Parts: sequence; structure tokens; C-alpha cells
Amino acid sequence: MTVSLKLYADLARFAPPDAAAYPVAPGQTVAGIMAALGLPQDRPVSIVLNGRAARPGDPVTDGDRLAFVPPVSGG
Amino acid sequence: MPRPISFPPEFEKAVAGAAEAGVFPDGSPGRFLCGERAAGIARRYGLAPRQADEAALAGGVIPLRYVRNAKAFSPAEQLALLRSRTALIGLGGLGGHILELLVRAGAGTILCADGDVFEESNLNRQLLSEDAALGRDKAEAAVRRAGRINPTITVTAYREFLDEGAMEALCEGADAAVDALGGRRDRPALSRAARKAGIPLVTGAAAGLTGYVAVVAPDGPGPEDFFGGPAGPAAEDDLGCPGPGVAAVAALQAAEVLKILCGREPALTGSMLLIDLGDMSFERVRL
Repeated sequence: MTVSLKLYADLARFAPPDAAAYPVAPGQTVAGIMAALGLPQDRPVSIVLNGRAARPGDPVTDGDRLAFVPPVSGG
Repeated sequence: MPRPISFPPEFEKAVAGAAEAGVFPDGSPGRFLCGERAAGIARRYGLAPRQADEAALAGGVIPLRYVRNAKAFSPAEQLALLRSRTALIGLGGLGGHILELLVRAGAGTILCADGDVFEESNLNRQLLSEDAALGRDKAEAAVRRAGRINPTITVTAYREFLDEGAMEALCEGADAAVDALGGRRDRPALSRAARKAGIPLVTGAAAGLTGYVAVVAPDGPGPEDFFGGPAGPAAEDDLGCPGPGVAAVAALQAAEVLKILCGREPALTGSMLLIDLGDMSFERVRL
């Protein structure tokens, strides 16, 4: 199964080439994908799963849209 | 919605008499009032030019400075805009662009604040900044520019960084609060101040070509709930704040503010719109 990934702002550097259809194993969680992408663990990353705020422990299913967002506060 | 207005009948008659028949670009007929005539009539009756515009709109006449908005805002909505009151905190990148759009749209009373002065690093994005005005107050620049664009509205700018009590005072009696702050530190205080005043808060921020916009209802969730606390690094530390990202977020904020001021429901209450001008993607998040 695959999910689509979107990494915002400076997290974009962690986006894989196949972000539009990123292969994941059944039962995979958001945290597992974060680890596989190598997202930094020393700073907050907010998670959006299918248009709703989500948590690292949430499971993903085929066709999900998953986004990672760092704190943004410039003006 | 606007309070009922009452002007001397002779004044209303003079305003109606000064209106001229014309056509909108789509060919539909309308009645229009030019600013010079409105100001002249107002002066004759000892009233403010904005009151001539209000009397015109109440009679279905469109002041010419708003004619290209007349298909977006009905006369009643434009009247509501003229009689609205906005609290705008921050006059930097976001605040300068938001102020510009509110002033041009005829948002009648704008109370704003920023204690900062312009630096050279502001010039890439801050509409109110000018090369020849480095070191000058942002608040002073806001009042000056607003007066040059639309002298019929009232812009009061405070040259100070507001603490929470001052934010509460600014929000009191306003129809909407606008978060145009930079950084995370002061945003929770403004959120609490808007909540205390019982008014919606239109918030936004940018980093690089990424940004977000959200409308926080007095009893609803906001981006703080999504991003977590006000401490720690943020993406703009790495990416800076180039002009297009800031201007795009400001335009989206202004669009939501104008809806609130004219009596409509904003689209983003309880939601956040994430934007990325890198790949031109827009995504809504339920907060």
C-alpha cells in the first residue's frame, strides 16, 4: 500500500522522491514513517493525516495523505 | 452588522443629489459618488467624508473608491465595513500588507500597534518599509500611508509593543482581532485577549514559501493547539521570510478579516489553511 507525503517548510529536505505514492507496510504508524524519513527528533513536528491533526502512534492506511509541519511563526 | 444610521435629511438629500448614474464594467447600471463631491458635502454639513460615503451606501449609491469592490460587497456590506473596527497587532511583513488591503477596502476604524522601527532586513517584504525611511517608526509609517490611500477612514497606530493588558484594551469593542506578529512568543497573549473580548482572531505566519492562515473563534481551537507551546525554534530561522510567502498569507488573512467585518462567516473558523508556494499546494486542516 502507499500513502502520499507532504513535508512543509524546512522539512521538505526529507521528502523522498516517491512522496506522491510512498510505499508503506500494512500496520505502519505515522511514527514509523517519520523514523524511515529520518525526520529530526529534537524539535517539534506537527502531523496532519487526511486533513486532521494526528499523533505519531496513529496507523496509516492505503491512500492516506500525510503531512508534516514544523513550527512556522514568521511575519 | 452596522448600527442604524441617522443623518440630517438635507444631508442625505444632498448626497443623493450628488450621485451620478453610470454603468459597471459588466454593463449593469449603478449610481456613483466621487470622493471630492462627498468631501465637499460633508464639509458643508460639518460631518466627516466617511459619513457622506455611509449616507450614499445607505441609499444604494456606491462611492467611486469602492466601485471595483461593489460586486464583491453589497452596499449594505460596504456600509458595515465602513462602520467596523479592527484591532491589528504588528505592522511588519504581515501587518503592512494586511493594513494596505483593509484601508483600500474601507475598513472604517483600524487600531494597530507596533513598537518597532524599520531595519534594512525588512525591505524584502514589509510594504511599509522604504530605503529612505530606515530607523523610522512602523506605526508612524502606517498612519502616513493609510492617510494617503484612504483619508476617509480612521487609522490609529500605537508606537509600542503591547503587553497582554494593552492587547485586551485594543481588542475591546473591536469586531475582529488580527495577529500580524512575528515569532511565537506573543501570540498566545493575543489569542487570550481576543477570546476575552469575545471576538474572532485571524492569525497567520510564514516561513520561506510555506505559511498558514487560521480563524480562531472565541471558544474554539487555534494553531497553538496544533503547533504546541510558544518556545523553541521555528522554520523561519532556517528559511527566512521572502516577500511572496508573507504577502500571500497577509492577503488570505485580509480576505477572512473583511468577511468578518462585513457580517459574513469566515471560511476558516476552527481550521487552518496550510500553503506552500513552492509547489502551489493548499491544504486545509481541521484544528
